[in-house]
Amino acid sequence: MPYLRGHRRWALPALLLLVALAGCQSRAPLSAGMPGEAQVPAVPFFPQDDYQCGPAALATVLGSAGVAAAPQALVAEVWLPQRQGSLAMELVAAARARERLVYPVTTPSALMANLDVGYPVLVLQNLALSFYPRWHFAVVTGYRRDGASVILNTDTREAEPMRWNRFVRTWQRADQQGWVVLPVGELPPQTRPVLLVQALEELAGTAGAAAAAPYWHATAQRHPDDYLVQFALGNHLWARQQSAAAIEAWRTATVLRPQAFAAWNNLALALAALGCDTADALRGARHSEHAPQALAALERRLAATATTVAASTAAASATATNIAACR
Amino acid sequence: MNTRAVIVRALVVVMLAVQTLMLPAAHAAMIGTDLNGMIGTTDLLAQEQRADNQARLKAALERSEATSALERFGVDPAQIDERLDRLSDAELASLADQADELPAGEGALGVLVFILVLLIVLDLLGVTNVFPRI
Repeated sequence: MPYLRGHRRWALPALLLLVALAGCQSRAPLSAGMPGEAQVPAVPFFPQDDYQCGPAALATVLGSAGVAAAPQALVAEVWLPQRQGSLAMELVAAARARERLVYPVTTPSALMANLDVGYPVLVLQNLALSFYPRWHFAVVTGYRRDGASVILNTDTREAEPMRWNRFVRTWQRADQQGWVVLPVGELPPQTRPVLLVQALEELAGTAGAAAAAPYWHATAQRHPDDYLVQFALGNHLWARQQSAAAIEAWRTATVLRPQAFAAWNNLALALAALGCDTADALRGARHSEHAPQALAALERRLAATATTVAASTAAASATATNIAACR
Repeated sequence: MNTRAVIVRALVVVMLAVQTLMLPAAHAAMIGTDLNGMIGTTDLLAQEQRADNQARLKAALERSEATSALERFGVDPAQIDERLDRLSDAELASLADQADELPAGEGALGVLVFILVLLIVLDLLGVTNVFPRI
């Protein structure tokens, strides 16, 4: 056929062979310095009843994150009788409702890294075929033989070993969905700012900003130089009425990415609300990349705020207490 | 007399209506000192997520093994880069995850597999034409 010319003739079959070879990785990817085997200590074990792997797996990871919950108590919350099973979404929501951060684990290396530092991982598996699925929730609690097998708390079996390549196939057929549920104020070993901020937002949405506060503390230390983290931290602190700290975080965000409008916008409005000078922040907003109507709205709001603050009798005392924040 | 009463009533109704409509606006302007007008975190997340995935893919494609593999297929990396915009958020995220899993250093095999997946996806989108039969 003319469409496969020259080197391409062999390139495609060769690559397909490589794909096939890569498909049967027999070991989990362990990064340098990780021991040949690991077992998360003191993971509670709940043998599942009937089809109730979801509640059992959820109770396991919750117990490891410091929330005592019996699977039977979770059944009403996460078990759907018609489906004889649970939805991943509901398990995650139930963990958040108990004021715990849930972070996604979607790659083999992230799975191993979490086990290495002592966080068991809740995984969704498809034990049958992609077109005839049999969904199952289990908890990976460790690995052995340099990652050639993983240890699972699954159905009625505790610490059951499973060969890596068998496990990873069942996990891949479930789109490699997995989650860690974290003890208060702790973060998984590897975090990406966007995913972390999203997880924190979802936690605050379900359990309130106060529940997210200890995790936010750890996040700010982990990613001090990330624009999104600093911007979202500002929003979190402002919602928690820690105005000075919020302004500090937004200021940091504007330094990290001066061309971003959002941080300038919130900084300017916060300064105005406290009766501080907004000239610098407004200048920053004008120089950033913005939609004209967004800047116009900000200018309108700042003008309105200036008049209301000036007219307010409380302004004098408010300004006195907020001088520190104005800086 | 009667007409006058009707006009007065109509005026009162109009004035009340205008006041009712104006009140929330005025109120909003006053509490504009607070959260009003602030940009929320969720407003930024989707866009940040896409930018992050694109950056991760770009980093993988800039590795020397990746560039040479693309050259072998006769694909201009700059062109792919620009066409990644066409991928949906989910496709982009999945490719970026795979790129992250590539072994660092001498993992040419992994890179080739990844490039193949990328080319297939782009082929399906009609961006490249490496496998015309797909």
